[in-house]
Amino acid sequence: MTTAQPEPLIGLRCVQCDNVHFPPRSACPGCHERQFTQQALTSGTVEQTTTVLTGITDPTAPVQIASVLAEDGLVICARVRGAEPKIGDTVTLTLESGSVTARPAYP
Amino acid sequence: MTQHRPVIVAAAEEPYTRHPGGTSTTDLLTRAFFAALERTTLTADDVDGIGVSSFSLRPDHVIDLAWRLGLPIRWLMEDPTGGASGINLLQHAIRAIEGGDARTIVLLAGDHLTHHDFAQLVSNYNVATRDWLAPLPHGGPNTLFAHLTQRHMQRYGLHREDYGALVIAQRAWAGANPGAVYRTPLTIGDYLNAPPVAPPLGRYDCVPVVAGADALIITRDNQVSGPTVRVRASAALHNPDNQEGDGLTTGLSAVAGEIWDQAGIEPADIDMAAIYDDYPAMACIQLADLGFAPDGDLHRLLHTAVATGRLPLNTSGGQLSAGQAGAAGGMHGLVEATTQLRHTAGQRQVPNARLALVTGYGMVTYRYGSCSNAVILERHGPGTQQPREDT
Repeated sequence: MTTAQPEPLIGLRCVQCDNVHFPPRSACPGCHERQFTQQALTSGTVEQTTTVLTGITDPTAPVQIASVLAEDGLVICARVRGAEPKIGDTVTLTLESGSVTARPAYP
Repeated sequence: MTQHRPVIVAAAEEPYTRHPGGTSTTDLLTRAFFAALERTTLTADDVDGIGVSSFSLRPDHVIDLAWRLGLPIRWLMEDPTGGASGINLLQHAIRAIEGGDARTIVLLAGDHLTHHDFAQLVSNYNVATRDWLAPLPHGGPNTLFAHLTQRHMQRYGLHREDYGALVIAQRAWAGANPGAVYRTPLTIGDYLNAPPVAPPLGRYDCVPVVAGADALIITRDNQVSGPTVRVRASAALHNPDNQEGDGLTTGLSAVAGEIWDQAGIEPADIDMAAIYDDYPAMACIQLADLGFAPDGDLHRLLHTAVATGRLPLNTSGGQLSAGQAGAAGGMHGLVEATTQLRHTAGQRQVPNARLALVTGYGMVTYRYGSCSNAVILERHGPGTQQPREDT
């Protein structure tokens, strides 16, 4: 199986008030402006994490899902891959095959 | 324009079951409708308004339900807001009767969701879930509320045992509710050692999914005699923070002052509270939002008010013990509060219940619920006849 290249996770930065939001919406939550520039969300800190043991979608293996505090104060829900994270760990954020993915970053 | 006075005259619940067989959602709603009607002197011919909330009624809509029930109607409403739908429907029904748009309105909520239906529902709950959560896969809202509960524990210095106190207290109430699907008393060991779902959430932190339906009948006060229930105050605030917060307060925190002022009472005056309990942390959060822990000491609220029954919380057992029949979760609390205020709650009756608080919560737009509402209900008029017990 070939895996697609990871893509950047993109937030929307308001041209008027600089608020960055994700997931994408119709109007800026700060000022209701409707023009945005793209803002890559590249990394963050793990704030909470849980292992989904009894998922409704019946994953074949336990899945680690984290709430990550990313740039601009955004909290993103991400699947953790690569290593089990601890609260406070730094992670990179990307889109892997359409799934928001966090990977622990090592110094 | 004459302002009519709306009263809730009956509430009924089609028994919740974890093994519904082939029964359809329409069948469940139909049975709840007639069960409620039978508790009044009204007939189906009197009903000229219908409101419904259901995730599984499709491809039928409220008009199809009206046709299937044989009801010509002057007012209809279909509400997709899950846990907030019961109170949202009630608020609109009250205004319809006050304004003369309808005379007698029946509100219905319920679901029969198969495992497949449920999986489809949580994966396609909205665009944000479909596009950004289901692909993870996040497995459903338990994951998000596991994170929220972690935040709550950290903020308020709570431990699993503290949420356990709430779960155990509600299970004790459920022991006196023949309609609850979980009735066996729980010990703290049972709670803590139950299989984990998404840590820190274990089995008993999550609602049992059931099939069932709830119904409420509202009419003009001059149509009925005997004890009725009135809406003394109501308030709602949805999408309070555009999901930019931490979910540890709901919209209720912004409207709490307003609802107590409108009612002219305070939290200590409440005889029973039906707080939307999709998760123990959320029940705590809504109680705190509405002023039940003014000193911020949630540990004390849980152990001295909730655990002792001094604050009768979710006296049916709540969704955590009675079950969540899909979109009926919001109506369930209204039905229990109405049952308590009409003094037909049998073994679990709160003595002399006169004032009840009911909340609704739900619709996770990304990381936590966006909808929040609340009503304060009041018993009116003992009447000369005691109604028969509803349980």
